[in-house]
Amino acid sequence: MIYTLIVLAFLGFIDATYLTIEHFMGGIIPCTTGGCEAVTNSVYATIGPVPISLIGAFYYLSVFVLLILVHQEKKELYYKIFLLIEAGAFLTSLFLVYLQLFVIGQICDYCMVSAGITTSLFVLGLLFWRKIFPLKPIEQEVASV
Amino acid sequence: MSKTSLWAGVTVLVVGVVVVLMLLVKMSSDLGSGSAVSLKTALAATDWTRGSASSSKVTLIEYADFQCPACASYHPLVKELEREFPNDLLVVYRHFPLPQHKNAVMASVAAEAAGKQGKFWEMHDVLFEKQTEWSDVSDPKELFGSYAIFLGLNGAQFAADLLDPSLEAKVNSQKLDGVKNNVNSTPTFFLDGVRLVNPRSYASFKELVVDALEKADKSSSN
Repeated sequence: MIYTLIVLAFLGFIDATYLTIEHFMGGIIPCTTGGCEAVTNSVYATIGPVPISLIGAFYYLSVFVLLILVHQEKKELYYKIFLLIEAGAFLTSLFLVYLQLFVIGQICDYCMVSAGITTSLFVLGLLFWRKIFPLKPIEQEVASV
Repeated sequence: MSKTSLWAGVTVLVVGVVVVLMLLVKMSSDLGSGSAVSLKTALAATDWTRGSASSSKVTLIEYADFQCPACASYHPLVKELEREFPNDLLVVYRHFPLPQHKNAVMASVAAEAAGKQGKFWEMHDVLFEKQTEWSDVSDPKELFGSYAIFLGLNGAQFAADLLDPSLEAKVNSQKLDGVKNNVNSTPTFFLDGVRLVNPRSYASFKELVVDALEKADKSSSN
């Protein structure tokens, strides 16, 4: 289970890093939807001089490292931090998809893939939580009262 | 596995991904034309061309969609090429309106209608330059009409031609022709019949044209 999450975070990292590199090297991105240029050149693609893809790359890298820590240290605290980051990232992704669909009116493949990965990380992260860290018996008793 | 070697492995992996991606991006921007897919369709009498047909040594055929933002990004690059190689480069525009762009077919028809009055390329330029203005309107005919007036065309004739089914038929037949040549995205460029992997900067686009010119010079001197 934890491996699935680690692989997803790694794929997200590749996706965001690719967009960041293209941003700084000034390339035109190969695109199947025809909307990548419109989205990645829009005013919403950067916060000041920082492209959103760079923030995304850091986010995926942090989550990737955090998940390896969870795997190594078996500490629930790390997993909770991961879930907290994911909740924020999920809301951010929703907002970015909204911008693509309703404000810019164009879709960018790489951005939609990233939104899909973040949604999967969040949903799977919640589903796997109690499987990776089962409740202790005493907590279960309290919970059932 | 010890903790140190695990984290060393993770670091190597992450740095490796960044380096490999940078190399890939760099390579694809340097390469330009990787695939030797040839264009099966020769120049037709109905093709719109810019440049000197008699003196030009190299032909650049573009399949494009007036509503596609990437095509609009390439528009100034192609114009710059035309400016830099006025005698050696023949530029051909072929319609390839994509289904997700609702006003693309109408825009192609507008360019053809302007072409009937001898101003295809002028309308072509305006459509790309003002792409964001007309892309999202529900009925762009009025805007296209205003561009026609701006270009000094006969407005009534232009409005009538917008409804001419033969123009839409021409647009569709060029698109079908593109499909036959395996065009599946826009813009798709063929330089002397060879399909280009879209260059990522003006410099690499120019380099491709210069290479093609050298090749043409060599083959003509042989």
